[in-house]
Amino acid sequence: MLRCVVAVAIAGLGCGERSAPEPAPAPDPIPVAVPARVDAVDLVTKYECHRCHDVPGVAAAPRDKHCVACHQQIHAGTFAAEPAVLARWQARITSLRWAPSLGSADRLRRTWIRDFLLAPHDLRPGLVAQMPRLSMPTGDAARLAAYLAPGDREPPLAAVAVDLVRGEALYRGLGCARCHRFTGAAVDDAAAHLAGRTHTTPLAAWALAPDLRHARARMTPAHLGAWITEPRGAMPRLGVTPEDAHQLAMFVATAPLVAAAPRRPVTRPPRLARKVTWGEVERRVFRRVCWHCHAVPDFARGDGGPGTTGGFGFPARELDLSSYEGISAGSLDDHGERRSVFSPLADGTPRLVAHLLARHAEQAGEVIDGIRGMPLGLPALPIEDIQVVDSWIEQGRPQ
Amino acid sequence: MSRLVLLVALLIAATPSLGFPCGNEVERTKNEEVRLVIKAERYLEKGMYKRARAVVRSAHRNHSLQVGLRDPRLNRRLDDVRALVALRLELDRDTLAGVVEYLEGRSEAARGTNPRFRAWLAEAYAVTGKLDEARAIFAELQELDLMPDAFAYLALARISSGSVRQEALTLCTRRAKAKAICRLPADAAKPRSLNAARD
Repeated sequence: MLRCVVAVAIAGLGCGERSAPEPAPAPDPIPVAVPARVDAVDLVTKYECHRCHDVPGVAAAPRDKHCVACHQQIHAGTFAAEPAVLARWQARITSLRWAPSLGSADRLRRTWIRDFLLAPHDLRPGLVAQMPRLSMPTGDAARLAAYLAPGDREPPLAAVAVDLVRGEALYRGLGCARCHRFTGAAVDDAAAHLAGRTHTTPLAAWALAPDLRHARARMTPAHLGAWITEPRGAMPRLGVTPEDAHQLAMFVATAPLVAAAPRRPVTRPPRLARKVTWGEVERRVFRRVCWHCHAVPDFARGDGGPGTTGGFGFPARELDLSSYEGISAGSLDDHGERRSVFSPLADGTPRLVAHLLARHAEQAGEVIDGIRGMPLGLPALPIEDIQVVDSWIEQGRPQ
Repeated sequence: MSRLVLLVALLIAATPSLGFPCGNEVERTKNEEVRLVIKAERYLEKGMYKRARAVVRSAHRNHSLQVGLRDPRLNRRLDDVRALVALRLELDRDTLAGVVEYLEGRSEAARGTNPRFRAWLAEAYAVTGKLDEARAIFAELQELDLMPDAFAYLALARISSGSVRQEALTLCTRRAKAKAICRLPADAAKPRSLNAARD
């Protein structure tokens, strides 16, 4: 919860800089009428999209592999664990409680889906987690995009004159800001969005509401208008006429946006002088976040998590972060050879620390080749925690 | 009968399955076999070898199967503990020969990818007099910064001298859960050979 609040506050603070409005995206070069639907069930299975998302044509992952279902069970109190343990988890687990259904991805631009898969960014301020950056070649991303958005269903554009004043009035009157941020637009209201969390039911509707800044890139105005008229999933029905839906869609698609303020680059913090032991780094970082995906396979019926035994398209890296001996044993590189996670990269940063810093870079829109940001798809660790890990490594990794 | 079958099926379907690795913490607290293995490994980590051995023995006493625990992965971990206890208690020559053979197999089965098995094998070589083999493995692991734990450094100290021994003992102390394990035996200068007579 706190991380969500902080994330929303930071997103709000980042939108004050006045600069030229962003231009509308170029029309989708892929023709609307496509000769055949693309089959990409093999890719859905390979990248395990169904571990979080509902995917058309693909059965959900088994319950013991379904991240969102697991977290939902925990919050519903139906997960098989002691009540005290459940209560502790319920207080701490804020991520992966919901994920958008890909059944309604057919409204999105295909090129946007492809680009998003290759370089995901934070789309939904109400969600703690975001789409993880997978190891996905462009061809796979394009095929998945074509599968999810066949492009054979372009709704007609309403034949009415555009009235942006009416569109803005609708936006304000319908209370869109209670669920949606619209960062960079004059109508954006961070306070209303924050208050909306408390008053919106179901909560999934608030959590899954995307930042409308990205709407014009994601959808054509015709699709946006159709969505407003006949929403699917968590989006509530607004009861607007098709004409009003069109005006609202055109407003969302063309409202002037100021560019987001660039995030300050994160640099490697200085190491601490005080002693840092394994107990502290385990408590603050590895046992709190990492071991969920980097665990001991023997203690989890052979499944050490995607970061250990493989998953989401990643090969088995055999990186066990759940114990001192585990982390000391390193991980497998791209050639299947074992390497230390403490080895310094060219700039002297230990590999493990580089991955933690890279997540900050990814959140700022920068992808570092060869270094995947960790934790995958989750908010970057606070710099203070990275500093503690870095200091522990520099001090020789004392127990 | 069909109603009973249906009821059982519904009950099974309604029971939430354990998520993995979501079930990490649950497995560690509720799965008796996992708890047993963790207990044995913690005793080993602290240098409490006889207690570790007692836990391993209890696993075989309390389970009807000849092989010990039901989960073969956990059984293998108990076998690892048993081998390391024998190594660190420096039991009889025949037992140590068996430990070397076991760890050679373990290291080979892991195809050299898990440095823990390599370090254990090197430790076994160090105790049983195969010093060149031990030094080669430790040199390889140090070069890659993959020395897994304090015991590896202790074993390295055992077969080293001068500043190398001192450095290894320092690193042992830094990385040990229980610092007391970082003490060399009185006859550390004379590694036990499988061919030497034992008193």
